[in-house]
Amino acid sequence: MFFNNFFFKKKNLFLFIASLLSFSSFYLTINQSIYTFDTLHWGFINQSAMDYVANKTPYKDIFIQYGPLSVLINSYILKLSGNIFLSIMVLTSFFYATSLLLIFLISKKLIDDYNAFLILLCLFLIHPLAVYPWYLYLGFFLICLGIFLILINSKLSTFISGILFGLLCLNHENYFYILFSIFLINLIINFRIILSKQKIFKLSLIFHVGFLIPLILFYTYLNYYDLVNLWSNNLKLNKTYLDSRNISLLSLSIDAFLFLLKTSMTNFFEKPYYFIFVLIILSNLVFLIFFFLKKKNNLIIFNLTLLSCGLYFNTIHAPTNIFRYSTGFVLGLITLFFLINSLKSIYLKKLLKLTIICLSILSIQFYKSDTNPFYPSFQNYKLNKKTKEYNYFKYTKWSPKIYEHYENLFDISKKISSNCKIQYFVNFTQDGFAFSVLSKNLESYQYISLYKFDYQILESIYKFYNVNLISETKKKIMDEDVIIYINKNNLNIFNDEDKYEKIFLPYNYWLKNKVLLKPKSCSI
Amino acid sequence: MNFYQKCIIIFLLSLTIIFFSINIFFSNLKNNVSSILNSDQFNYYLEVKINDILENLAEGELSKEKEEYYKDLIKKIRDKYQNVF
Repeated sequence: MFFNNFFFKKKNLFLFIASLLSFSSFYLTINQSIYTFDTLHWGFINQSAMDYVANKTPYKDIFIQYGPLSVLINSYILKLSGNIFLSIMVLTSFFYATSLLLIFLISKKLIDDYNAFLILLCLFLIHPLAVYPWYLYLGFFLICLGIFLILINSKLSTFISGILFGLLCLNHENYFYILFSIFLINLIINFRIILSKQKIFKLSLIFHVGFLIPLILFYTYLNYYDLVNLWSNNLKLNKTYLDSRNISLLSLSIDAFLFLLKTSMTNFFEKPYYFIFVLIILSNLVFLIFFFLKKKNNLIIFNLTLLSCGLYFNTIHAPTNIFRYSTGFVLGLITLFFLINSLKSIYLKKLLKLTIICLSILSIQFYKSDTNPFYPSFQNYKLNKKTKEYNYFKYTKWSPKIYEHYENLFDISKKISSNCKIQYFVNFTQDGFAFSVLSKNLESYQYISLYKFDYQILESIYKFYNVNLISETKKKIMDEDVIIYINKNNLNIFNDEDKYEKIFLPYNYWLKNKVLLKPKSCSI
Repeated sequence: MNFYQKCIIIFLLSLTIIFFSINIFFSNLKNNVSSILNSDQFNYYLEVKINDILENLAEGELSKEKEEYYKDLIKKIRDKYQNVF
């Protein structure tokens, strides 16, 4: 009886399906993550969290590329799980799945149940799984929860929402620029509305008090540990990235937009999601024009549209990364459906919504693609059945050759550490997991755990921090106080050092030819 | 909804179904091909095939024409990779 009553109510049915989609996203992400082997992104994020667990000081000893919040949260989950790196991905998938559900609830409040369901369906079809343990998923979660709390419209919820948006700025400082711009635009355009309606004025004041709390606490923390200079120096990283590409922010934005336009046309059938993104940009522009012409006066949708426009800047440096669009910019889908819903012709409404849903259905990719670069092949499922009980890689299902590689690396570094007077190791590869494995037995003097020779962006970052890893390592080589983990192709960099011998690690498809250089005087 | 409006919707749905089916088909094909290329069975197949080719090459007499051809070919390879050797 309860079952019938519950599901016959349309809104309950939509909520049930939304929860199901959200749970599917959570479950599938974890299931896929078990098979994913990404030494660069996953290894890098994991290493920052491990450094924090090891009581290293942020900015001083830990390279924080984005913001401190995701490092802090990742480190806590790592500590709770007993250093199982997959736990970070479980948390990320929780953030993404919950954000999907929150988008449904937000759209439900702003439009209606049916449209909320369609918006969620689009999002799910375009980007069903979280693919990297990236700060963007946490950011998306904070944004969605913040907006949801604003819509509750009470003083407490608005205050908590302010705190969440404040935390968002700690997730990545770039969010602050976006939020500050929205604040300024509101101050200029909606100044009269905010002043004339006392309730809105009060709530916006409460929001901003909440917003400032995390920022003030963070600044106090920085001040207490004397990290303000290091942190403010880190803010210049954006400029370093642009300089390394020799491009201005405006040119980068224009290039990214032109790429989007071109790809949406040329790859319409293969990658229809680009066309949906163009539709979102267009709908955002149309809404803003209508708002300025005073034909639409929904303040929440106006701010949501501005937020979507601002979050588009998260995508411009890597416009092929779909997860960047799907963790912020896609909020504009609400504006798109809001506009479609305000059309007079019922037929046109249905046709447009159907077109968007059809494009979303065509966006599903059942192979490695922009939307899911880690789609596991049947081969993964067939061969990698055994999981490894080795604590750090627990629950992963990789090729046995990968485990052998890291076990080999661990054993060698352990022998070196116990038999020789060698204190340090250096990682001249992009293998973040190797860094973590080596750091169990030896210390590192590397500020950034990864390295790639002749890679402009990374070289600029090293230069930005006044670090010359090669010359530092050559000094340590003179003292025979370092072992070097390096790709076989780059051996010529340290080849003339006659004090060192090469240990060639067995080749495998995923890690290729890696070599460990150790002093000849150290026998293991 | 009039007849033309219904036609447009049916056309849109049909197009989606057709392209979705194509998408599924090629996705499967891609996954299967990539699985085969990365499998041990394929490596074994390549090994057997290469052995077979080498065995076939080793059998029988070398004709004058082929002798000249291989001499010329090996000379070219040797000249090109002289520095490497």
